[in-house]
This record gives sequence, C-alpha cells and structure tokens, in this order.
Amino acid sequence: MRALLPSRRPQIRPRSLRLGVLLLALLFLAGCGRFTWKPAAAAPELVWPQLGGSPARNAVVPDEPCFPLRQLWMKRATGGINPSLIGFGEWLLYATKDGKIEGFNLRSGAKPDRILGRNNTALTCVWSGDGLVLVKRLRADNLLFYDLDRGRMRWQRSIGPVMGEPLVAGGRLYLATLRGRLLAIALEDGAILAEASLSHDCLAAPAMSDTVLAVGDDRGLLHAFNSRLESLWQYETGGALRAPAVAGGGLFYIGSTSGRFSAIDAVSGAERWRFESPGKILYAAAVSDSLVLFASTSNLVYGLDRTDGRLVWQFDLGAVPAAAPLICGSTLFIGAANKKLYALSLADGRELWSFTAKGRISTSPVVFGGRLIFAAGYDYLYCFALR
Amino acid sequence: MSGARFLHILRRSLLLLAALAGLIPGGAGAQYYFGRNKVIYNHFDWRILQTDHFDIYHYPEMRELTEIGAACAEESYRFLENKFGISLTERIPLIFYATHAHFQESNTISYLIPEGVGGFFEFLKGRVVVPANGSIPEFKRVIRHELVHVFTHARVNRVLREHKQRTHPGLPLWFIEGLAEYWSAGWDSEAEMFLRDAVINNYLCPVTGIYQINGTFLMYKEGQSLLRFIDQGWGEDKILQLIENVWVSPYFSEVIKLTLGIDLREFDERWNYALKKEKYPLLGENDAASRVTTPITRQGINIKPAYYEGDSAQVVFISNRTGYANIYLAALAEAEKEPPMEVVVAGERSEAFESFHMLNSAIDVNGRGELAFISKSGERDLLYIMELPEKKITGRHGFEKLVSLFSPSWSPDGRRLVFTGLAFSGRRDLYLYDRESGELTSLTDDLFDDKDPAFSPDGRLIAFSSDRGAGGAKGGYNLFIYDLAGGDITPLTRGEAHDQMPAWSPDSSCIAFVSDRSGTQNIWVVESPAAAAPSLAERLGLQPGAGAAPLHLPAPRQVTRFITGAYDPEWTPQGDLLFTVFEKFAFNISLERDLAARLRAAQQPAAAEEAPVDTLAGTAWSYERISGEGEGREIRYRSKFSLDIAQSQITQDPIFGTSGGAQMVVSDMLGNYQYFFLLYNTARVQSELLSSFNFALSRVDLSHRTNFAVGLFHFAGRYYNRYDLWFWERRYGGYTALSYPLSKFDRIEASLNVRSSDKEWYADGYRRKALLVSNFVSYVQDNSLWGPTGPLDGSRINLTLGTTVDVANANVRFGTAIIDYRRYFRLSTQAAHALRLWTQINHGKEATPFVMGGSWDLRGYRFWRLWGTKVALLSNELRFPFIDRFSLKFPFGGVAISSIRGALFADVGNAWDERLEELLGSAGFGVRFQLGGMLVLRFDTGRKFLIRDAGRFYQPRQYDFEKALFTQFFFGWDF
Repeated sequence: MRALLPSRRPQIRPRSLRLGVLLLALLFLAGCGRFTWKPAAAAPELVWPQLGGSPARNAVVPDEPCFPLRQLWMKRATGGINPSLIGFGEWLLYATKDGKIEGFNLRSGAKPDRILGRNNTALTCVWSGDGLVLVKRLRADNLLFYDLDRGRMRWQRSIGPVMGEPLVAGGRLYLATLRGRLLAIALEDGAILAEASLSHDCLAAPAMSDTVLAVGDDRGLLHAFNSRLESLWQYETGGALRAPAVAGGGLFYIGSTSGRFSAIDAVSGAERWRFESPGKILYAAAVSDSLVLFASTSNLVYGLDRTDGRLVWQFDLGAVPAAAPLICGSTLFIGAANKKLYALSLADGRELWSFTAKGRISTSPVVFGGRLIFAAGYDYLYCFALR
Repeated sequence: MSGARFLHILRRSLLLLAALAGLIPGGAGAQYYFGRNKVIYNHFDWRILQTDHFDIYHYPEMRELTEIGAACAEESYRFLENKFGISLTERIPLIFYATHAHFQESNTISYLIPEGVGGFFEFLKGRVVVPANGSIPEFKRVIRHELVHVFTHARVNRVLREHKQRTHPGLPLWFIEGLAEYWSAGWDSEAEMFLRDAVINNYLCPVTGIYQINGTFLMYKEGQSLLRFIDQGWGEDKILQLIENVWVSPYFSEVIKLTLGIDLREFDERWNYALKKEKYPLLGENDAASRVTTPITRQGINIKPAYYEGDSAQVVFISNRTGYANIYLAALAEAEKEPPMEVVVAGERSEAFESFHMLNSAIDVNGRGELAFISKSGERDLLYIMELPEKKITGRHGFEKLVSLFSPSWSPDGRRLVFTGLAFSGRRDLYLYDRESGELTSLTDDLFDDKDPAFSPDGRLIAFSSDRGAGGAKGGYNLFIYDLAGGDITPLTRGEAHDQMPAWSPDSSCIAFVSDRSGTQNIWVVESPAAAAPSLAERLGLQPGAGAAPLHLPAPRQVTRFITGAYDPEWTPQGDLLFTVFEKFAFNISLERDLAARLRAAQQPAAAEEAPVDTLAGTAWSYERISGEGEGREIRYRSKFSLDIAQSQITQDPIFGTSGGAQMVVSDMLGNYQYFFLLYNTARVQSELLSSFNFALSRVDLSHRTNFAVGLFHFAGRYYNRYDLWFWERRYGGYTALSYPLSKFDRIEASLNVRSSDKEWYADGYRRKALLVSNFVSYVQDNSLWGPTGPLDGSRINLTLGTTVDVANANVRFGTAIIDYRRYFRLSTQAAHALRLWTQINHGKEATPFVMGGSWDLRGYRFWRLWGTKVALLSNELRFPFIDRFSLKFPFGGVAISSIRGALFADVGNAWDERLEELLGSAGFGVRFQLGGMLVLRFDTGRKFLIRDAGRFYQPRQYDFEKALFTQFFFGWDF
C-alpha cells in the first residue's frame, strides 16, 4: 500500500492568473463575435432592410424571373429562422429563434458566421443604414442598436416584450410592444421621441404610407398615427390583426383573422372596399399596379382588383400559406405549409413554377442581386438565381 | 411533453423490461407478475383507405362507417387547418374500430382500455385510434377531438424545435384536453352540468392546483371551461398565442403571464368569478336535486333504476359504490339514510359479467319479477334474464351478428324484449326478441343511431331516441314512435336538443324523457300518442288510413328544474317517478312522488307551441362519404415497422463496474407484432469486450388470441449472490413462450427455454457446462380491484410448474413449483383484509435459489437477504385509510398528499434449502401513499420474531420477539 503523502495547497502564480484571465476574455469575445461592414463596398440595389423590403411593407421588385429557376445553394442555419430576412451589401442576415444573428456573404457563399449569440430568446432585426436594430423579444434591455462600423453596441434600452417586427423610416424606429405601447425611437441614440397606446395587445408590425403610420392590435383595430404618434383614425376589422398593413396608392390594405380583407384610405381611414374570405388572414398582402394579392387559411391566394376589390383570380395552394407573398416583375411568389414555393402569373394566377423544399416555407422570399432567397423547414435557407 | 405522455412511455418501458425478464425463466420477474388480459377475439382483415391527409385503417365489415369517418376526418382537418393556421406535412394514421368491444382488443396501446376511453392519440407513431359506438355524430366528435391533439402536438413540436427547447415539458394536460374538448364539442350540456355542479357545490379545482386532478374527468371539463374563458375574454387568437409562446418557459404560468398579461393567480380568480357570476343566478330558477327530491341512494355512482314490486316496493339499479359495478336491489323507502342493499349480480370479476355498460345500458324488470340486463361476456354482450325473487339466472341470450347490446325493455306481457344492438358493421339499431320462439327481428336497419327503446303499456308502440330527425345532422336526438303493427316510425319531438330515455307513464297519458333543451339534462314529459285523446294519435298519423300529411307535434313540458342534471326516468305503478340525479360529482337515485297525478292536474301547454313538420322522409338526412373509388384509394394492410422506443444508458457501480447498453423496440402500425432488441456490455477491461456482450432479441406476436414470443439471447458476465457468491456465467440460447387468455381474468402461460450455460464459481474455481432445457407452465388469475396503494378486493393467483434439466451433462436437474395466492376481503369501501400465501420450490441438482426479505414480502428483514431453494410466506394485512389529506403550505408554494393509507400486518415465512428449522416473522404498522400515479412510498415499523420450532408455530411459547422496533422505508405497491 502506498504511503499517503501530506497534501500541499496549490499556489497560483501571477503569470498563470494573467494567462487564465486572458483566455477567458478571448473566449468571451469569441462568443460575442464581431462583424463590421464598410458602406463603400455595397451595391445600392442589394438592399432589403426590413420585413416587406420597405416601410410600406409591400414586397415588390421589378426583376423578371426566368423559369425554371436555378438553385444556387441550400444552407442550414443553426436554429429556427425569424420571418424577416435582411439583405444589405453583399450580406444576408437573419435572426434565429434561439437568439442569434447569423449572416454570410452572398457572392462568396461562405458559411454562416455568427456575430451575436447569447441567451436563448427569439430575436429579430432590421437594417437602419449604418447599423442593425435588434429586438430580443422577451428579454430585459431588449432593444439594441449594433453599430456595423465599429462592430459593437451603440445603445440599448428596455421596452417590454415585442412580438411584431420593427419599422425603420426617416431616421426613426417605430415598433409596437406586446402590451400595445407604440414607440418612435431615434436611431442615433435610442431616445424615445414619441409614444402612444393602442389599448390592446399587439403582435403585428407597423407600416407606413407617406407620413401615416398604421398598426393593428389583437382586438382587430387598425390604428393610424402621424409621425408624432398622434392618433388619426381607427378602423374595425372584425378579427385579430396578425398581418401588417400594406401601403400602396394612398391606401392601406389589411386582412384579419376574421377573413375580412379591407382597403382603407390612409389619410381619412374611410373604407374603400372590403372582401370576405372564408379563412384567417395571417400574412401581409402584396400590391401591384392593378392588383392586390393575399392568401388566407382557406388555402387560397386571391388576386383582387385594387380599386374595387373585385375578385380577378384565385389559386389553391393545397395547404395554408406560410408567409406573405412577393411580387417579382409579373410573377407572384408565395410559400405554403406543404413545403412548396409557388410562382404564379400575376395576370391570371396560373402556376408558372413550383419548388418543394425540405420543410414548410417559413419566410417570405426576398430578392436582391438577382437572387431569390427564402427559408424553409426549421433551418434551411435556399437561394435561386432569377435568371 | 406532458406528464401523462411521459408516464405512458415510462410505464410501457417498464412493462417491456418486465416482460423480457419474465420471459427468461430464472429471473425474479415471473413470480411478481399478475394482471388482466387483453383478449383478441377477432382477427380483422385490415385495409387502408387513403384520403388526402389520412391513412385510415379499417376492416371490410365496417366499410360504410369508414367512408363516413373518412369524410368526417377530412372535414375536421380543414376545420383545424383553419383554426391552427398550419398544415400537416405528414400523413396521419387513423385506426377505426366499429365497436368499443373491438377497440378494447387493440394492440396500439399495451394497456387494457377502459370503457370510458372514447379514443386516443398515441404520439410515438402519431396514431389516432377511434372506436365508433353506433352514433355517427359522436364518432365525428371524437375524431375531431383527437385531431386537435394531432395539430396541437405538431404545432408545439415545431415551436419547441425552432427555439431549441429539447427538454421542455410542453403544454399542461388541462390545456391540451381542454382545447380538444372545446374545439370538438364547443360548450355542450355535459360540460355545463359538470361546471354548474362544481361551482355550486364548491369543489372547483383552481388552476393553480389543477395538477391534483390531472387526468380525471373533472380536469377535462375544467379545461374545457378554461379554454372557453380565454376565448370569450381574450379572443380565440390568444389560444394560439399561448401555444406559440410555450417555449418561453417550462412553467405555463409564465406563458400565461406573457400572453394574457396577467399572472396565473389573477387568471384563476377571474375565471372563478366569471363562473360564479354565470352559475349562481341559475339557482333563482333551478334547484339542487337533493333539496327538492327524496334521495334513495346517497353515495357513489348509482344509476339506471328499475322498479320492482316484490314483497314491497323495491328498486333495482347498477352501482359501483364498492369499486366493482354490481346490480343491487334495495327497498324503495324514504329514510334518513340509505336502505340495506343486496347485490343481485356481482360484476367485473368474472367472464360472465365482465361489464354492465353502466353508463350506457339500462335495465328493466317486468311484472313477473324478471330482471333483464346486459353484460359483456367474452367476445360479445349477452342478454341475461334473472328471476329476482330467487336471484336465479334463467336466460342467457347472445346474437351472432350483434357485438354489443343496450337497454332491454320488456313488453307488458313479458314475452318480448326490445333493445338496441350494435352490429359488427357499427350500425346501432332496434331489435325485438321473442323469448318463446327465439326469433330476433330487426326493427330498424340504417345508419341512424336508435337507442333507449321503451314498450308502451299496451304493447303496441315502442318509443325510442334517434338522430334520424332534422336535428341529427348537428348531433341532435329526438323521440320517435315505432308502430309494431305497420313498422311506421313517427317523430314525437323535434329540434337540435338531445332527447333520450323515454319512459311511458303507467296510465299511458304521457312519456317522460330526458332532454337538454333547457341547458342541462332534465326530465321532461310529452303527451303520449297512446293516450285517451285520439286527436294526437291522429295528428301523428298513427290512425289507419293516415296519409303523408304534415304532422303536428305536442309541446314538451319541463318537469324537473335541477341546476345540474337528471337521467333515467322510471315510473312506478303508483305514478311516482324514479330517476338518477347528478350532484356533488356523484349519481344517485331519487324519487318524485305522485308526479303522474300532478301532471294530469296541471295545465296543458298552449297549442301555439306546436308546429307543423314534414313527414319522416323529409326530416331524414344523409352523411358525406369518401370511398376508395372516388376521392380515396384502398390498399391492403402490410406490416411496416417503425421505432417505438430507443434508450441507452451507462451505469457505474463500485462493485460491478461500468456497463453500458441500449434497448430498442419496433412494432407495426397496429401493434400486433413487436421486436425487442437489447444490447449491453459489462466488460471491465478491453480483453473482456467481446466475451461480455449481452444481447437479446425477441419477437412478439399479439395478433391472435394466443400471444407468441420467440427470442434469442446471449448473456455473459460476472454475477454475485449470497448463495453462489461470485461467479461468472455465460448463457446463450433461445426461447419460445405463449400466453393464452381464458378470459379477461385468467390465462395459461407456457414457455420453453434452451440455453447453453457455462458457469464458473470464483470461490472454489469449480466450472461446469450444461445444456439446459427449461419448461414452465402457469395459470394466472387476477380480478383484483385496486385502491390508491394496492388491491382492496378480489383475488390474484399464480400457479407455476416447471423443470430445468441439463440434457447434455446431467449437471443440473431440478423441478419448480410456485404458488402465489392473494385474496382481498373487503371490509368497507376503503378497508380490506389482505391475505397472501406464497411458496416457491426449486428442488434438485443445482436448484436455483429464491430470495426473500424486505418491504415487499417479509417485512422487517433486509431486502433479499434470505436465500434458499425453497421459500414460504404467509402474510396478513389489514388495510385502511389513515390520513385523507396532508398538505403543507409555504409562502413560496406547498405540497399536498392525498389518501395516505395505513396497514396492520403480520408476516411469517422463511427461505431454506433442506429443512425448515425455524420461521421468521414480523408484525407491525405501516403507512403508504402514492406519488404521481406511479410510485408508492411505504414505511413500516414493528417487531420481528422468531419461531424456533417451525412445526409448532401455532404455540405462543415458541415465539421469540425482538425487543427493538424495526423501521423500513421503501417503495412499491401493496401485495
């Protein structure tokens, strides 16, 4: 039996301590990640800063696709992908539902490089021109501005849970919290410039038509405000509002869970026309020169005349829609829960092309740089060439 | 995943492991295994009808019902697709059964399926299993209920996966079941009745403590109410938001706080207040039954009264007051307490009286004192006739094409019986049986659900309830009259209410029936077509020569205004009315005196309530179908196997070292064929790796009445027991086993095991090889009734005989006999005297030793410290309720334990090899309680004693008691 040796207390040398602290710091920084972007390298058209592409939330691009589309790549994120894909410069960014911002270079097709990853909480982001506005849906200090030039946070504040998507317009950030607090925030320093109350919970994203801001609440009211967030009018839609309004031609187009789809004058709030569909409307519409298009849980895509709401055509997706549609030239792209992305003729709703992904389509497609990008399944990202 | 579902997986795993242990003789599992049997009476020719979203498993006899069910399923899919806003990407397996009796034979779930289970969603394979019961609206509702589970499961899974919440417990059970009830049944009269009762009688369980009633019927109804409350208070979209936000926290209270903006306590208080505001005002117009009627019974579930004029006025009824459902006879007397009751038919203990379908089937007594009742007896239901004075069964009738029977009703002359029969096809119709000729006549033959038939006092007409009226398309039932002379069917009531259980008054002036047209079930009366007034008969077209003229139905009148509910009206010859009332979560029989006279004296309702209706042909409606030639496609069923369970584990023990392994179970969609794989390794050094592999592979065939199993195995490693000390053994071979259920309560088991055994004892280095052949045969019987911690009534028996022989080297040769007899003598509802006589004998060369000692058998002695090739034990235990409820409340929460049971016990026994020299014993007191429905914790204390001369254990001077008390804390059910 070996003799037991007397124990000695270990001594920590200063040098070891310094190395340990440095190692911890490096690990910490590695976990944070850094990401910077130089504006000079950007191509102006490669911009998709927020949900719907613009404050009007109307996802329309002039590119004409050429079918069949050629798949360029399919990649996987590290978690469920937030419905809002962001594109700027050469970069595609997206937020994951477990709290990370990931991105990669579209030209090089490099693998996703994590720039932020902390806490398991759903996250969304919008691009503001020189930085990213990040919204951690449920955390304290949940609104952050990430300076892309410097690669660090510029400011952060706590505003309460947020389920909808933020809106960036005119140097300001607009968003509605879950408890119905509508805020206008300065992007420069995060100061609250104006505030209004919706009186009810809110899950929808605000939209803007010129200077009129519209946002819907959980009880079915579409509220309109001016830039100082002074109330202009309210419109009753008959059901909860999940989808953002879409602005086009001085009107707001909005659908609710009651199945009602309405066209409302953006200035006066007067109803121009309404259309009743048998299912719930959960996603935004898209507005072309002559038509307004939306889908409901009746599995149908509707093409209505935007002036009077007359049904021009409808198309059966075979499953519920999974995201808002995108107008690409004379084509409508829309994804469904049966894993299919459809391309329909804008004129008559005829199916031009479809693609079956590995899972249900989970985001609206975005287009920039001649590329069509969308997410499907839990974490798949697809990229197709439009021509 | 919810607690209930985790429980299901864990129970199933444990059962599988126990079965595997039990199938390999020599293991300790065999002698502890009892249980009732799932008897496969039918071998179905399974087909699959493929629709847009479903694979519907069915058999040809129920094809018609399947096509209707397919249409219902697709309709529900579209409905729920819209509700949830999602589409399912995988096809859904739907397994249909035409009757509940067939459903009980299903192997999709390993448990015995109780009568109260209407269907289930089994999420390992995503199967939805639904029985029909003759009612298509009910079939449709159950399909929708289960599909809500499918959609909820899909949505929650997606949310949790997207947010990487792999260990999240999921939604609480009250929400899951409440949503399924609310989106399939809406807010119906049954839910209204239960919630009224709970609120008025102050037993509503708060949401903060709803886990205490998890899995109970009350939880279902409270959940339904809570979902309705959320819908009404916040909108339907909030329900979906609660599901979408489930990932936020493993505590649903946090999800509620985020989604609804209020904490759980505030939510609970608001719900409670809303219910009180809604229900309390009802007392202005309604009464509690116990306040205004004469109760005959006062405890438990007492239902389906039938009047019997024997020596005095008596009532026959069905009750499960002891836990078993029995048919009782009691005096019809108004007294301060319940009259003495006599059991005339003991149910749920034997194959003859397996189940009386007490919630669905009435009983009837004729003027000659003959009781007619239905009981499940093996494969099908039988109609029994019993002479009540002698308590003697005089008739036992089964009908080839009818699987289930319900609610027999005597003709006035006692020669015929009319009842509802459920055929193999799933159709439920009226049948007339002539006792003298033995002829069975089908009175109706269609897809409509016809039930609760009742002969008129003159024997010419039969009143019954059916969904064939215009209201049936939405699940409504109305009363109809069947004219035996011509076979015509005429409506008596109309509307979308649920009118049922008609009972003719003795003077034929009216028919009492149950209806929920006032919100909950109450007793109503309607003018009888056989009444003296001919105008009604004429108006109903029951006069000769009546054409297809528009009918004018009489207006029903409400007789009882109970705030909860009333059922099963039964007239006495004196014009009193017996019925069942639901109050304080119990069903009891009450009496309303002189009702017929009061009705005669009362003013008739205004004729303005009458309304012209179309003839019967105009009110009939049809069901949508999806057939294999049209929208669907039919294929034959082929067994395709998929994984059920895969588990792996690593263990580390200071003596036995490290071992690791995995087990896997695959089965086909119907659960008829199962494969078990077990693989693990106990090597401690690399050189042992190959020789220390252990595996077992078994195939189990459950598709027929006789269950077969075959398997191969290889076990090798170091073992230790106090008998052999350390030894190394390698066993490999194969086995086959079969189990044949004689009935639900008893079975024969047999097994043959052939294995090569190479064994080396470390103590002396002795090594031997053998080719062992073991044969065992067992008889197992179990009709025990379980209380919170163990059986309280009935008996369990395991008789096993076997031999183990070394056919190669004659190194091993012993015989085995096991007798394990347990009998439970009921002393009261919650108390029993339990007796156990257990002996196990292995006698011969290298006989395997048994173990004894511990909380599970000889209490006071260390667990499994007694070894011997023979063991014997005699246990007596008095089981009684000790503490009804024990709760501790802290500022941050609390804990509550219900039904803490006590026991006084005395055990005597020992283990020996050659000669039993002395007997060990103990006597004392114990406490046990159950946790989570699975685990029973037990604590025993007492004194041990020794009987020096085992042959004279009856003499007190032979007992040596230890002075000190022992204490023993362990887990496990009472024997």
